[in-house]
This record gives sequence, C-alpha cells and structure tokens, in this order.
Amino acid sequence: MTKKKNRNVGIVGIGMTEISSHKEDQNQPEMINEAVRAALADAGITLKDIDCVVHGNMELFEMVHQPDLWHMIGTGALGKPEFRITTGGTTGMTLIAASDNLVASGMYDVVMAIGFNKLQEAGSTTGGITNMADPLWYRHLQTGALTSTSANMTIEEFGAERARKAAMKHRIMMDKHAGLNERAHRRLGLEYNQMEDLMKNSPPLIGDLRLIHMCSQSDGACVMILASEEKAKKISKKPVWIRDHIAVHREETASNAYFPILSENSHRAAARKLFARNGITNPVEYFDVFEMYDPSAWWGIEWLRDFFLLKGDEAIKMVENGDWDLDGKVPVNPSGGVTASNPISATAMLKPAEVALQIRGDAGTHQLKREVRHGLASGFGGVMWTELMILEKDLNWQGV
Amino acid sequence: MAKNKLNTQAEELISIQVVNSIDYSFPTGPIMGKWFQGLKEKKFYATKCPSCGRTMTPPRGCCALCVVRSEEFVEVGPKGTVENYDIAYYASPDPLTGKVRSTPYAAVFVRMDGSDCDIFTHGIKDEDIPKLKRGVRVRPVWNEVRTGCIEDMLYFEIDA
Amino acid sequence: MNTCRNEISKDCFVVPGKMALPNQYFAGRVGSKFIISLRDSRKILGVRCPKCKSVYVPPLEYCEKDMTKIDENWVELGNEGVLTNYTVVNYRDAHLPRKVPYILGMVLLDGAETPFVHIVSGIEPENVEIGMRVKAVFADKTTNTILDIDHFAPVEE
Repeated sequence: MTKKKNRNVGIVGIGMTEISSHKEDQNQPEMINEAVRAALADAGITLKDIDCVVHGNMELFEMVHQPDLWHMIGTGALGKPEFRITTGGTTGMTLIAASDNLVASGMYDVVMAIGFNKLQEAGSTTGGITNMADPLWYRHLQTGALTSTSANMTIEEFGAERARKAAMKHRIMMDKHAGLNERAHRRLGLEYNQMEDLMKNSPPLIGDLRLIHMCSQSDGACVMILASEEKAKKISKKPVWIRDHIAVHREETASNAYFPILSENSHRAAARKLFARNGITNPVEYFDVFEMYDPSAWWGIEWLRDFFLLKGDEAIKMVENGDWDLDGKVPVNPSGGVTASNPISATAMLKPAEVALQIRGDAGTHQLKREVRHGLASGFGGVMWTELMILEKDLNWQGV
Repeated sequence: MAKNKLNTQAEELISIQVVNSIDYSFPTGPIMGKWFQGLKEKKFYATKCPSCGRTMTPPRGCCALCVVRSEEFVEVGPKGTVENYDIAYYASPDPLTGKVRSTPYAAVFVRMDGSDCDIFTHGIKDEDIPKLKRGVRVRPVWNEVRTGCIEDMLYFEIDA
Repeated sequence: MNTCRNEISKDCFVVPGKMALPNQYFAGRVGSKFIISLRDSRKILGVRCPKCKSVYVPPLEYCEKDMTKIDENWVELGNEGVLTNYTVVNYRDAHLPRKVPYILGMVLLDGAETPFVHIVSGIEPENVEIGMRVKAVFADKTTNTILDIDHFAPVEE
C-alpha cells in the first residue's frame, strides 16, 4: 500500500522552552507563549502568516478544561481556525501528524502546532493517569505509566543480569546524551561505573522498575510551524520534510496492557507498515538518527527491537555494543530522551523537533558529528498508541 | 523608564493548592452489568466472539478484532494463570478516594481458565507477593458481602 | 440500536464513583503582581500594550494580538466601572462561592478595554441594570485569589 501526499510539507519553525521541574514564574499561557514566540522567530514570520493553530495537552494534569480556549491569550490563535487534539502521551506527535495532514490536504498553507504540559501543577501525574483505567474494575489497581510488566518479560527472555545491565546501560547513555543538551531537564552526570550501584540502590517504584529508569515529571512547551512545499521554500532556507507518518494502536483495554492479543505490538506494526510503504528494507542502515519516546529505560531497550524490526537479542546486543550511541550505528535520543525531559504533551513533539534540528544542523551542543539526512521519530501514549514519523533533509524520495 | 519595573528580588509568587474532587456515577450497561451480577454469585462471565471464538474477560459487547457484536456469555475461571504482574513500592493517590495506600501491593494480570486470549486484573494477597512470577496459578478469594462491584472479590491468592 | 433490550436490561446498574486529585496552579510573575496588589494595596492593576493601546485586566505578559511584551507597562485602574452584563445564579452547587441567588456581573473598569467576571452584591437581582456603575469592595480576609475583591457594589449616585 503506497500512501501519496497531496503536496509536500516542510517544518519551517521550531520553538521550545527550557524543560524544567519548576516554572512558578509563568502561568500556562505564558509558558506556551514563550515557545510560540521562539517558533515564530525561528521561522522568521509573524502571527499574520499563521493560517491555523493546533493545540494539545493531557488536560487531567493541569485540571484545566478547554485549555485551548483560555490559553488563547498565549497561543496567538485569536480569530484564527483552531483545533484541539489530545491522545495521551502521543499528543505531541499526533499534533504534528494532524498538522501535516492539514497542510498536505491543501486546507491550510501554514499551520502552527502547540504541545505543552505543566506537570508541576499536577499534584500527581500518576494519579491522573490512573483515570484512563476502567473505573469499575481496574482504576483502584492501575499504577499510571509505572509498570514492570516490560521488565518482567525482558528478564524472563534474557535473564535477570543481562536484562538489568542492558536497561541500566541504556539509562546511563540517555543521561550522557542529556548532559550535552542544555534544554534537557534531568542531567544527572551518571557514569557507567555506577551501574551496579544504581541497579541495587535506586529506589524501587514498581517491581524491577526503579526511580532511575523512569521518565521525569517536567514543565515545558514545544511549538512547530509546518508549511506547504511552496511556502516552506519561501519561509525557510532549510525546511525539513515530513516524508510519512503512521498511527497504530491496539484494541486492548487498560487491563490488557502489554498482553499480546495481536502477534506484534503497535510499535512493530507501525514500523513494519511504514518502512514497507517507503521501501526502507534496512532501517538500521537507513536512519541517521532516531528520537524515541522512551518513558522508561526498560521500555527503551524493549522497543528498539520493535522499531528497527530486530529479532531475538539483536537490539540488546546493540545496547551492549554501544550501537545506539552518538557514534554508533543509529544514534538514539541525542536530546537525552524522555527519561531526561518529559513535559508530556510537548514530549512527543520534541521527538520530531529534535530530529528536525539534527537534520538542519541546528541542535547546538548536542548536534551529531555525522551528517543527518534521514531521521525517525516516535510518539507513544496510553496503552500502546504509536505514532511513527520519517523526516528527510532532501525532497528526493518520491520515486521510491 | 523603570518606574513600573517589577521588583524581582525575593519576589512573591502566588499559587493555589486544591484537591479537585468530583462525584461520578458509572452505568455498567448490560454487558459489564452481567459481569458484576456474576461476581455476586462468585462467577466470572466472559463474552464470546461469534466470529473468531475468543473470549473476553471482563466481557465486552464487541470484538474489536472482528468488529462484530459479542453478546453470548460463557463462564470462565474461577482459577487462572498469572500472565504478568506489577508490584508497587511507590503508591500514587487512589483517584477514587484521593488517599495514598500502603505499599507494597500488587496487581496481577490473570488469564482465567477457559479464556483463551484475554486477561483480568485484580490484586494479590499480600503474603503471596514474594512468590509472584509469570505462569503461577491463582484462585479468587471472595468477600463475604457481595454487592455487584469489583470489591466482591477481595484478591487472588496463589493456588498451591 | 438500543443495547439495553428488555431481556438483559435487568443486569444494568449504576456504580457510584469519584475522582479526587491534588492539584496546584501558578499565577506566574505577572498574575502574582496583580493578586498581591489587590491583597496588599487594594489596587486593581492592568497592563497597556504600547503598540495597540489595549489595556488588559487581569494583566498579560505579552499582548495576545501582536505579541508585544507589555508586562512592564502597568497601569492602575480605578476601583469603579460599568456593569456591561450580568446573570443571576439560582441553582445551588457545592463549588459555588456564594449562597444563591446571587449576581454574576461583567465589570468594565474605567480605563480598561475588556470586562471581567465578578460577583455583584448589595442590590436585589430584580433591580440590577446593564450600564449601572459599580465599585470594588475588598475582602477583609485574603485568599490570594481574585476573591480578595469580595464583590462589586452599586455606586451611590
């Protein structure tokens, strides 16, 4: 199945706030406004050039209903067409997928997507997330995004020692990447010689999932401006092209989390379909960077196997060999990933944003040394809702 | 002109703290209603897909794989197999009460006997937490008083 | 299709539930200055956009129309204004701040461009009129919220 775009869409503006645990000096619209102004400045355009605004977050955290409405004073959407999207943790990527569709369809030429969360305002994000579970028979036991089901499976498959070491190595590698990114929230300065200590002494959260494995709770906003090919070439000297994206989710209710009714999870299904229709037969070879939504180190090592359609212990081996490191076969999360920075509904947008910055060569202190032409970004939320996106430096894949 | 400049030294920043508490009522509908009626009688009801034959526990009125209505009930359990589990050492507020419970506690994802591809989640008896692993057999422990809610079953315990 | 057909509707019932989550909200630097002024000085502050001249009460950091930074252009507004619209709250609910019936009004302060919502008190609902002049009455006890203005009362002519 080939998917043809009506017209090409380029990323022309990227703006993000610093990601931190405390933003007491800004209210929600002010935090968003900071990213909006940064994106407009990056694109070199003004609000007048924006045809439509797409806004999203997970609203249970800030406990604000219709945030699109009362954030108007910060979004710049006054008098413009606006959409609101919320798909759990995937929101940030769904915002970009929807904006891409809005531009590709011909409906709008220039669309601004806004993703944010201000998790310091949530007394308990985990308590909020439990509300996704059925109130009658699962909510009282649901542990939010915290789970060790993935760790249990990985340990069973590869043995406790190998699995725990791989997860911790991935976690420390992510922290080393975050250390290079001045916008990242948690930069702990971890070293590989701390592995044994952390595996034993980091506070346990759920089963084998320890505090060190898990993503942070952050405040932040990300804004991206997408434009049609014609407009993109006028606005930006180096637009980054959104080649294709796919959304896959599974039918399971929250009780069936990670229990394989289908033969493959949503990540593998998304990767298989997306790569096939784009003629990408060897993703490890093809992609120069992958920004992955990895809410925990355990999920990180499990999902790399799915996203790159690897088998058995191939992905774990690549963790052990450092193949996902900045100078490895496919650099994963040069930004530091989600374990470093997690303003939830900005998080999934930070993935394509970071890939686009790498492709442009504008990632600053965490810019990869290699040339980045082909990038992959993933979003994740709820009980396996995957959004996977291919970004390109050049407009040259149409013949594929 | 600096006359309106904010004094940023030792600046007081206002915040409000609230517990948003909202009462709800959740209608079960006929399918989940049958499930809760079953719990009253110490029975587990699943629905069976007329197309692929899979059973869904707790029951759902539609098979999302085949996209057909599934309204035939079959009894499953009462014993089952632990497919996965979460042992919580960190407790977040229970959104039903706003209170934080004591740890550790555990949730077990159980495939009920006779249910071929679906799982049901409940707690496990505290004493059995150290013995939890994938594949372990469990049986339900029932509440004396059963009113048609999830607390009709207290928890699972390991079936020795 | 009616899913609750007679033969199975006997199984339907309703389970009471609750959602209770702790939460906090930050007013931010600009919002804090506005609240602190109400609380400590009993003065209502706004900001004026130097570009489009709009006056915002409550204040904004950036003009929502042209993204001009405006949070240093504070203006002190009078405590009086005009009631541009109102409604009478007649239903009771736990979250409401006053005993019913009470009046919610849109108050356009003198010098401001947009009205904001507050409670109008000291007048019977049947006597309220659009266009009447009202004045802020400050609360004796602070809550660090907009309710540091207790209500707006009619101005004696």
